[in-house]
Amino acid sequence: MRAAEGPTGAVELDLAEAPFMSSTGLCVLLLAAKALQKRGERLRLVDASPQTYNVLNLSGFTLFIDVKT
Amino acid sequence: MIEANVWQKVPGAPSAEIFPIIPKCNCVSSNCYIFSAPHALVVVDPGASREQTQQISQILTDALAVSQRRILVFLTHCHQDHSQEASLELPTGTEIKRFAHHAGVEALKRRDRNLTTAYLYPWHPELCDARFEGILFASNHASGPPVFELADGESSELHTEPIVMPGSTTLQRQWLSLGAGNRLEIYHTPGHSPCSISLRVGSLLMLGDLPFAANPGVCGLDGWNHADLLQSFHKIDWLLETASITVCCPGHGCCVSAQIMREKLRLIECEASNLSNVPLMDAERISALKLYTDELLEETAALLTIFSGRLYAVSYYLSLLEEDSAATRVLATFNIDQIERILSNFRRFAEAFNTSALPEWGVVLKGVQVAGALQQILSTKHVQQLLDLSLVNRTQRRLEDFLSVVRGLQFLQTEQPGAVDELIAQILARAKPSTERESTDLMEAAENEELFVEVLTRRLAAHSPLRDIEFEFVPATQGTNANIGAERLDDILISLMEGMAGTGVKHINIATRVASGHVEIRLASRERIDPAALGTRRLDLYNRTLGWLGGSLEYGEQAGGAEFLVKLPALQET
Repeated sequence: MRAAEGPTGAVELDLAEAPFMSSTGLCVLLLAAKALQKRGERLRLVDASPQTYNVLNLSGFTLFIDVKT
Repeated sequence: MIEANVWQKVPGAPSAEIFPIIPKCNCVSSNCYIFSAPHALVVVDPGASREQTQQISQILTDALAVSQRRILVFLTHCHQDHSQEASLELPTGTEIKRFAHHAGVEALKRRDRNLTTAYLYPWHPELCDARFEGILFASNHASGPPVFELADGESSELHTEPIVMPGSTTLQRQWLSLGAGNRLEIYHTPGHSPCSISLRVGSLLMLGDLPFAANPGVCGLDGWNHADLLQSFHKIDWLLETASITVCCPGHGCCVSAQIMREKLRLIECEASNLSNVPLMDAERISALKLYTDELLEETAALLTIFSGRLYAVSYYLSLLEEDSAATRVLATFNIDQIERILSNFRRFAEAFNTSALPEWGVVLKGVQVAGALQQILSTKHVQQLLDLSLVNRTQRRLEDFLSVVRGLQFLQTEQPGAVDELIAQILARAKPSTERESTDLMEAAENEELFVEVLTRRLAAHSPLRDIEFEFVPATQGTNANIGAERLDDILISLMEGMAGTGVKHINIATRVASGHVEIRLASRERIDPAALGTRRLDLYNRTLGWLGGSLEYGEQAGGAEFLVKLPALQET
């Protein structure tokens, strides 16, 4: 969150150690995406598990967050 | 009201005191109630925890130091969580007499691990092997003398005085004097177990596990009897109405007023009336239910996380449109944090199960508790007013199914079967909402700012993951009536299609056919799919649900793509 709320720079989050995504996790991603959006950036997630990607996609998060599996 | 872990006057019996030990509700050890009366100390349900036994011993030792009396131990029934520690650890020379219903005494004597429910606990606990001098409600007095000789040369008589209730129903009753006009009354209230009794001191009634006897996961335990249970509810209701009882003390959880217990028992009686053919809750059934509980958790967590995610996504877009108050309102309608707390708590419990020797039965009971808590949250008015409720509705149906199955109800028999092809056509129509209707609702709301934001929110939340999927549907050439309720099949197909869409699939080919007494539904994609993306336990859950109907769910890879094959038992055309 500190990186997302910082003044500049892209933010990439490695999800390799996150086997699943809960709503608390989604909330954190939302806050980071909002903070980045204010300075014209998009949050990038890498190494998302297929299940996490599925949840992000079905929730509509992939419309405003870039996700790589 | 009665407080835990402190001596206090017994309502309606001024010279008697009670010390209730009420641990956090669990299926391993029960509450214990200790009474101090002029001529006796009474222990009701010692429980099955070493710590609790030590606490009881300390309390009794302290009480005996003030005034030497005999100790009478009663079991409300012989289940392991109430009876295991009935031996107690007391100073040498302490006079102790134990009492239980004759069916319970016999079960303990013959080391019956079923009727005592010892089989539920994976650590193979020892059964209580203490001697029971007081055999309650024995049909033959020779097997249990009604008079107990005491060490000081006195004797205590177990009086038998049945109560004839209106309508000529008989409530079996026995009683013992505790001195100074105090007496302990015992009523035979079977159903949860044949040896279940309720005990009264003053205006306080101990009901054992009768208040939980219709709960999912509890009904169907060895010795459970539907007809006896309904009779016992009726008898206790009559007692609560006529016998000046003010407080009810259950075998687990807090004591409540007689009025609250009466209302609770009436609700339970309604639920219990449907439970006439409950299957036995044996070890095999518990193991299957444990797996079902795990699957339910994954399905519930997945559906509710996606639903929460959609609300977060809506709030994101509303914030972009500088509608921050609407964004906050959207999130406030659904108690995401509380749901997350409940699910996390269950995850921790399930993890503890995997790393320790918790009983599988405990996981099932925890699942029942979680399902009940989620049902309560999801049924609140705010949520009902929400936007795309299909995920919530799906979750609720899964929770209802789960609770029914744990209770032993054959829920699938109540469903209306239907034509599969018609249902698929309806799903596809829903997946592509009419653009004409969509444009008018915004136009109509344009002049009312509040309504406009509401309609906008509704539209943002109506995001369907199937909207951009290209479907091809090849229906069967024969009738596709199948033995499955439309709602349940709709839930499974939508979940599978959404799951496929979630992996990035752009085309789904659907084909149905009738073969070998089954209606087959093929959902195929041109792209490969990792089934783990949909959640393996969720797929197991759909397979389990279909299996109950004689159907199945299979996953396979075909011509570079993936395929889910749903098989349903075909209904014969008439």
